[in-house]
Amino acid sequence: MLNVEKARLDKVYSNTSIIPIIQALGCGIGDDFDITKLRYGKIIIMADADVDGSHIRILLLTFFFRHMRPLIENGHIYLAQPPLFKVHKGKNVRYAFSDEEKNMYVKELGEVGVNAERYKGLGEMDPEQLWDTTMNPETRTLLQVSINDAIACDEAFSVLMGDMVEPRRDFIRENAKYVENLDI
Amino acid sequence: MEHNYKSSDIEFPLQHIEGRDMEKELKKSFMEYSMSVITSRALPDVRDGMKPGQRRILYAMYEDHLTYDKPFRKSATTVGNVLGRYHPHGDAAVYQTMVRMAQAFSLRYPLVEGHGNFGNVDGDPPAAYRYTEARMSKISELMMSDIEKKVVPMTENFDNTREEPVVLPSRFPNILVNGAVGIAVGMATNIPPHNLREVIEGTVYRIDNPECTAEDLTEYIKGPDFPTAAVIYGKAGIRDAYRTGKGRIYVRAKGSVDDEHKKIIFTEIPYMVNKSMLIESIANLVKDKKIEGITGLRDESGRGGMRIVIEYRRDANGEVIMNQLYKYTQLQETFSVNMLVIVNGEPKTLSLPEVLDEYISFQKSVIRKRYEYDLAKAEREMHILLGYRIATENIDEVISIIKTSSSIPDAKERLISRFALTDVQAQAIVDMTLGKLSGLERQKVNERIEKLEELIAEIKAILADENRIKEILKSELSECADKFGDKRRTEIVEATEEIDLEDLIEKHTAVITLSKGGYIKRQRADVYTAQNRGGKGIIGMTTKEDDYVEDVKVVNSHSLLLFFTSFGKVYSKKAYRIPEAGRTAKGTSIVNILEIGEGERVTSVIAINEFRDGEYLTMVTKRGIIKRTLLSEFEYQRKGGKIAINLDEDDELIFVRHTKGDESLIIATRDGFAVRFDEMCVRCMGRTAHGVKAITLTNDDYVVGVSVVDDSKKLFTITECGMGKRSLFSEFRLMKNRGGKGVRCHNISGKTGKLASILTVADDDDIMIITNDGTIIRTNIENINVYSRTATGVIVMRPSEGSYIINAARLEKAEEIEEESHKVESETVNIKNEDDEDEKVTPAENFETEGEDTVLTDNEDSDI
Repeated sequence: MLNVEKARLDKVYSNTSIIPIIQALGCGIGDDFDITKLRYGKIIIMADADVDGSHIRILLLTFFFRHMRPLIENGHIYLAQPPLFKVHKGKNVRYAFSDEEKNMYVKELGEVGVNAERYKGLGEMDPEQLWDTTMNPETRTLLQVSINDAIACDEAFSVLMGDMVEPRRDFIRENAKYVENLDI
Repeated sequence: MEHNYKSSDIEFPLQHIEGRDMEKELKKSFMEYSMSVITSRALPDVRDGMKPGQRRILYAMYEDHLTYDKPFRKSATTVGNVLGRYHPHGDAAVYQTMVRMAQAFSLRYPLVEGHGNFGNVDGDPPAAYRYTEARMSKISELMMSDIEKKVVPMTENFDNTREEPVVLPSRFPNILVNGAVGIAVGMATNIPPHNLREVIEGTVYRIDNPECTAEDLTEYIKGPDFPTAAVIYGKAGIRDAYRTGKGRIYVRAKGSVDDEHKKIIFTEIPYMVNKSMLIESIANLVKDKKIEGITGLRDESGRGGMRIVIEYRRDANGEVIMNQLYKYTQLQETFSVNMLVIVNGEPKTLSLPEVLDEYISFQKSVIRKRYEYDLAKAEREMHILLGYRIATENIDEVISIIKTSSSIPDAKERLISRFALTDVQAQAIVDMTLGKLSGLERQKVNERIEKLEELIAEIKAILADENRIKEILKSELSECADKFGDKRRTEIVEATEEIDLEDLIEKHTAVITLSKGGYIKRQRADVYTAQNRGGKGIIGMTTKEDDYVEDVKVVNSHSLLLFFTSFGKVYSKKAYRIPEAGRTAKGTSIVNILEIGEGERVTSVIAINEFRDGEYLTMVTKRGIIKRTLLSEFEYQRKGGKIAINLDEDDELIFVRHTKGDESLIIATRDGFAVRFDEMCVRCMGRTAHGVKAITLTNDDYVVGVSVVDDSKKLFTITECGMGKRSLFSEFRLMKNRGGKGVRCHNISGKTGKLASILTVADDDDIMIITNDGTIIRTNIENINVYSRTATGVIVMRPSEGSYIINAARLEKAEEIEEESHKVESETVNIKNEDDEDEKVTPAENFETEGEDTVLTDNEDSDI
């Protein structure tokens, strides 16, 4: 996935990862963007639950923010919530979406002989598992992306995804202590 | 196909939708990603110099006993094991990492021994992992020493099925020895490799002198030592890097110029430079004519080593080409050191002493842990042996207890209560074989206990004494240096500047032209071709209206030019620093080159090749003041200029001559008067002195020229209207004293105009004569006859209407001037002539005739 914040427009429009997105959504891009032609109600970003997944997610969000912002403004962009842990003992399986939930299931299953695995990627799951945990509209959890402060968003994208290294380093330095999920 | 869904069909009221603010999501995801890349992907740990990927490769190989004394195994095995056990990422990335660890041109001391095609300096890829084979290298064992003794912390792998080391024991300072490169997010690391022996010596010194400075350490750690050798150019970058953790180090290819065969040969190139791309870039420079004179380029590298051959034209200067190659290609690379490492989970840029301190304290803990492990083991054995001893001493009772017990646990329990044993001891006793009861075995147990007592006491003493741990660390490091140390490969040379511009410029004779209005330019001397007397001249400089060329100096391109100004100040500049310009170009305003004040004009330019003792600068002002000062007083220059002479208010410094102190001078005035006296008459004065009277001036007369008397030469005088002559110096009587009124040196009349300039000339000299409209003529002095001191002379140059001669300059010797054969464009110039230039005419034929008017204008394609 291309970082559109750093790329020239012609590179964006000719990128082989981006073209299929534009084609699938059917609503055009840039000046030709027409939200009435949008073919889907929900565009759901489903990325791996690891830090590389986080990276791809922000690359995609950068693209939607910079080139198809009305999609976000009209609430069409969602984030899927795949489980972070698989807690299992024998045939009993639970999917946990947070550390607390994981600990809860570990207790529930009786601690001894319980395994709790951190999911690294969606590819670890069977199609059936993926349906049950993440995709089934009856049970899934989605996060609807919204823009509360467009100016702050714009600035954040510039700092985090843009050309200048200094501000990015400063941001990392200031926020290093708040990080929760690290892939060690 | 049309769908006829009703919206209620596809609504799922039960699905849970939460709002998520974009900014928050972005920042959170970004921080997770960037911190992960920073702390556990792209940057090395200061303790072992390993990134997680590298560490996992070595550990997986170690687990598989893939050491240097075992047979090679397919790289695919290692890659697979690393992925399966520790590193849930791409196989290609793992293989690439492993390949780099095996490349002798990437790692100074490769940690992996490869078998097969592992790539090369030309950037050719290695063979696929199903073909190549690998194992740990010999030195790599030191990375792992004692790991089974739990000397380093371990952590669970990604699926909690195994343990992996957080850091390797690294019994040599791998972080410095093999260096590191890595790009994270918002930061990157670049640590050069070093010589093992030097780094160990430095580490040992640091252990003994924890307060030493980075400077002290360079005594031992001289600088980076690259696997590809080459030459480090300059030490400043090394000092910066060691002191602050950041520095720019210039690395040059090792090359030599074979002037006999007109070849430059490079045998070593800078670290991490791709040879084939380097050669391509040289070829492109030749193609784009950025570097001229290269006729051939060959890569003769082979099994014998690297060899890049560059052939150059016979008339080209090999040294100059080599310097240009350094300047424009990766034959000189900047290695930007940034010793960014992970310290306690955080990225930090460390200085050399800090890196060593982190390493030393880690090694101390490794040694301590090793002894703690040994101690625990010895104590465990001791404990059991003590149990044995009790049992053998009371063997009959022990046997009867066991015989009368119903089961082993029962026996143990009774033994424990009877002899105050521990469970471990009791277990060992019930497990004892009968053979242990023999006298010899009993003896052995006692001996072993004694030994263990000694060992335990020794280990405890070591653990209690920090100094002993230091000593052990030092001796183990030295052992490593003895075993694996080798000679430094990279040579370090001193450098004054990065690449001095001087080396890039071919030495040539240059003509510096300075206009009255303060425009200056440099041209190659061969631009001017010799014309004959009476020629109208070629345009030497286009000047603005009201401006004219005032001074022409023929100098060496590498001479230091001293610019003396009307205010009596002096500034300096290397000749090649004067911008080169075309023949008719106006040049650059002097204010852009020198920091001169308002209203200040450069009136004299002196070219100095060397500041020798016993040489002087003799200055003459418009009002006839003379001063002599040692040349060496002008050696050290300031950007803002220095005072050269202290002037009266209405006076100007107009002439400065470079003399040897034993010369006789002739000073001539505009009205055609001249005095001659010995330089010795003017005592040598300090740089800021005022000077003394040289000539008595009448009315508004002023000084126009100063000449040095040389009896083998003659005095050339020329008037404003172009009347010139040579006269003998002997006609000028040497005055005993300076300050006289002088004698006539040229017959001045309305026809001749006032005296314009005087020169000392040899018979075979060429001179240039300049008019106020910028026309310059170059002519052989032979064409101008010798006349008496008071004669009028002959027409040397015909200034075009309204213009007049303002100055003359002598060219260094008559050189063979190549005739320029290109056709002339003349439309832009006032003097039109389509004829070929440089008609060779003998002086006799040409005497006082209309000269062969020759005009040469500057056209775009003239190859100046």
